[in-house]
Amino acid sequence: MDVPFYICAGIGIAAAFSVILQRRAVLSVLSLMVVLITCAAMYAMLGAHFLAVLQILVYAGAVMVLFVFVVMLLDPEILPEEVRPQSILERLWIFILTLGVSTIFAMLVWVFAHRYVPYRQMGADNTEKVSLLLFSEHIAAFEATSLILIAAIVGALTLSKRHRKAKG
Amino acid sequence: MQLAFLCFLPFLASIFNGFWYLFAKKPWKMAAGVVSTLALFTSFCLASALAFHDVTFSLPWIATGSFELPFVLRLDHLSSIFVLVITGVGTLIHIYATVYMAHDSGIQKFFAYLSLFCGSMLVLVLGGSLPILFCGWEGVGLCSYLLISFWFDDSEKAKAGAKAFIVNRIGDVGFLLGMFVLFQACGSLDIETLTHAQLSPTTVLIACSLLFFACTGKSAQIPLYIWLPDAMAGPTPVSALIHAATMVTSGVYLVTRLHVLFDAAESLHIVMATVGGVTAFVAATIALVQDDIKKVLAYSTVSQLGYLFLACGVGAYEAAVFHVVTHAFFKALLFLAAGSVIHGMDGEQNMWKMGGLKKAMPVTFATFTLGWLAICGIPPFSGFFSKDEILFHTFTSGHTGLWALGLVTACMTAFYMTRLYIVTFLGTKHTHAHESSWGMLAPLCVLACLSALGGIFGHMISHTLAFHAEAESSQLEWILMLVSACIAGLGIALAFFMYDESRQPIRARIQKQYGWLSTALAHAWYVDEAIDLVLLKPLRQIYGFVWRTIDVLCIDGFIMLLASGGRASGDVLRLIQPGFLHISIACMVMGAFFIMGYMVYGQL
Amino acid sequence: MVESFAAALFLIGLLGIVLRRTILVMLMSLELMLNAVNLTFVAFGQQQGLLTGQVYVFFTMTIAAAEAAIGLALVIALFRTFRSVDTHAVHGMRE
Repeated sequence: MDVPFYICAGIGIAAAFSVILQRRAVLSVLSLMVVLITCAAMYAMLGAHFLAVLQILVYAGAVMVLFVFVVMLLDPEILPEEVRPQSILERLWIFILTLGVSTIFAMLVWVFAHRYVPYRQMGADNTEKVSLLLFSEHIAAFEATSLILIAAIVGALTLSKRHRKAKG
Repeated sequence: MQLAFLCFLPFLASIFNGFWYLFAKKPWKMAAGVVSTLALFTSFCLASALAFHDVTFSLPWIATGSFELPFVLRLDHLSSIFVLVITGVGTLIHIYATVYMAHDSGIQKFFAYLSLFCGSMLVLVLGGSLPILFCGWEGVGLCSYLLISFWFDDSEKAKAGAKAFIVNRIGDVGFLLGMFVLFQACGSLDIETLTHAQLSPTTVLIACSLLFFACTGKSAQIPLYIWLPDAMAGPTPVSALIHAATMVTSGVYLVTRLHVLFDAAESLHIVMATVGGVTAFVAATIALVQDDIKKVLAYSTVSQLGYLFLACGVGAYEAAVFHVVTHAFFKALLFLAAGSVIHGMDGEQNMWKMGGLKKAMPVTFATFTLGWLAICGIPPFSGFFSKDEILFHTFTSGHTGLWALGLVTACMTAFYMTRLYIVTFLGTKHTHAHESSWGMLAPLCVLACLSALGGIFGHMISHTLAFHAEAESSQLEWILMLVSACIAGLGIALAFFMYDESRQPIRARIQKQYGWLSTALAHAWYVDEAIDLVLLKPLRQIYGFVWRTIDVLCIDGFIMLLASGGRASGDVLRLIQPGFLHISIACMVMGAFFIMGYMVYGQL
Repeated sequence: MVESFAAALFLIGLLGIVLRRTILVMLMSLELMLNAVNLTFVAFGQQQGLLTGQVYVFFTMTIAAAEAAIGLALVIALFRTFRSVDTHAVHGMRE
């Protein structure tokens, strides 16, 4: 459990910083993909095999591709931005934020380490068990998500339509 | 096994022609007609071989739990007669149609439909249980629609086809309900079982009334006869086959098949007989003033069908079957001859534009003469014997009023048929019409012989059917025969008197005095207009109302309301936003920090 | 251990949202946060031996995908209107 976890965690954190610190948007997207794959590895290590595969398929596969499409659609001149802090005020702002975040992170780690519970062994039939749960207890939510997906499709289509100059 | 062949050969021909029409229209189109004719002729030969034996063919079809419905075809004496008529007269009409429709571009489609029709009719007649019969019933209704509106580019013809189908369907509701009642009472719809079942009188009465209603649709009685005159929009062979010889007799077949049940429904008898008699009378009155050849023959068909139900109503089922057979002969002959005339006159159907065709189309003239004599009921031709049987049985069962009605109708039949005969064939007007080819004339000749000599079938039919004991020939019978013959002669004489060319002024005077009657008759007593006003107009109002208020206003309006509501609320709520995204996020994050800090601190 | 990693991811995403001006990168940081939360769900579920956590993550993942689609459509519409994806430049939301 330990060594693979630390490797994945290391890669994940580095990629996450890369996401927020890159100048070019494409590199952000690629870094995010690395983070997602790391997460999938975490899921697998925790015994959630179904979710691991789903993460790769849906998140890394579909959503990230969507992001890449949009990045390609946007004007390459406009997209890159300066990540260097430009003025004293900005440097101050970043410093305060980083301080606050680090404090909270430290506190969280302390809490988690304090309540450490060893991980259990999960069986190999994770997918079967999850699907059984999905289709019995959570069937209503399952059907509702399909509705949400339809609404999302319709919404996305409507929003990205080109409106012609002449109305009607 | 041969029974199955007999029944399904026409279907094979239909499928073959159908595929031919869809895939290869060019080469030698007349062959489509030949294929169908051969198929039906083979069926005829099989039928002759199997006739009057009791043959059954059974296939397991539906078997679910307690309900079983095998596909049963049953040939016995009654269905043999009908099968022979269908296949025999049908073959003749097929030969005629092959020549008649030779120049039509959709000839394969035509014969596909025609074969489909013959197959369905055979299923109807051979069906061993009511649902199978109903399959055939529906099939002939469908093919009737397809064939009537064959030239559907003309919207009038298409509407006529739709009218026929819809009116038939209204009758079919009666059939279905009757089947439901019988099934609930009896548990089985097999005809053998039904005829031997013990059913309560009310059940039988209800079921038979419903089935009779279905027959009024199929066999064009009041109130569902309105489709038959309009059905003349179809090609003439269609009129001959479907509306003279076969489909319209399905109602009579149904009643005769279930005659055990109908015998038990006492109160229905008088209703049936009256409906038949009145239909015969009314249709004959309308036929008196029609100018289109085919319309005259159409109303004549309705009239003769009225006779059939009159016969069934008084219990004379053998007479009805006999009249079905002879009617098939002479009515098909008359229709085909009319088709020959129309063909020779290049599409003209108004008989006042004709005249003197005796010289121009001699063979057609000769065969039409025989058909005319048969339908008028002149001895010794077939029509006389069958019509006289019906009138005799009506008289002897005590319905003197209906007998008188039947006599008057017979007189009118003779009158208007002679009127048609004189105006079309006699006189000296046109001589440029050309005689038809032998392909069309040969079937005419065969049918003419059958019409002339068909009287001999009468005894055979009563003998094989053997529903009731045969009565002895009595004095009364001869007297009544004489009366019928005289009435028919009277009608003919009157027509000759009226329509001789020198009598034009007398006709004009009568026309002026009774003009209102003539107009009413010409519009068929305004029945179609009445139905449109009373039934269809309110229905259209209702449809319009349902569409405008319920669909457009309520349902569509509700959805639109939801959408515009969302948009309106968005318009209101946007005023809450400060407009600067990064400031909103910064504030939110600050707040989140504090909350997070507080919660985590509490856990420490 | 996994929860700490998730916490780290979450906070990094939070930093990304506050500090970056490009809407697209903000959306990506949002995805980062969502993933972190998913990871937390699974980790705690595993600790307690329940599969409920994984089921909830299934739904969250679906909805996050839908939300990403709509968000990206919005970005494109925004881009067409304002010809810019800088949050500091886009401020017509009140009108």
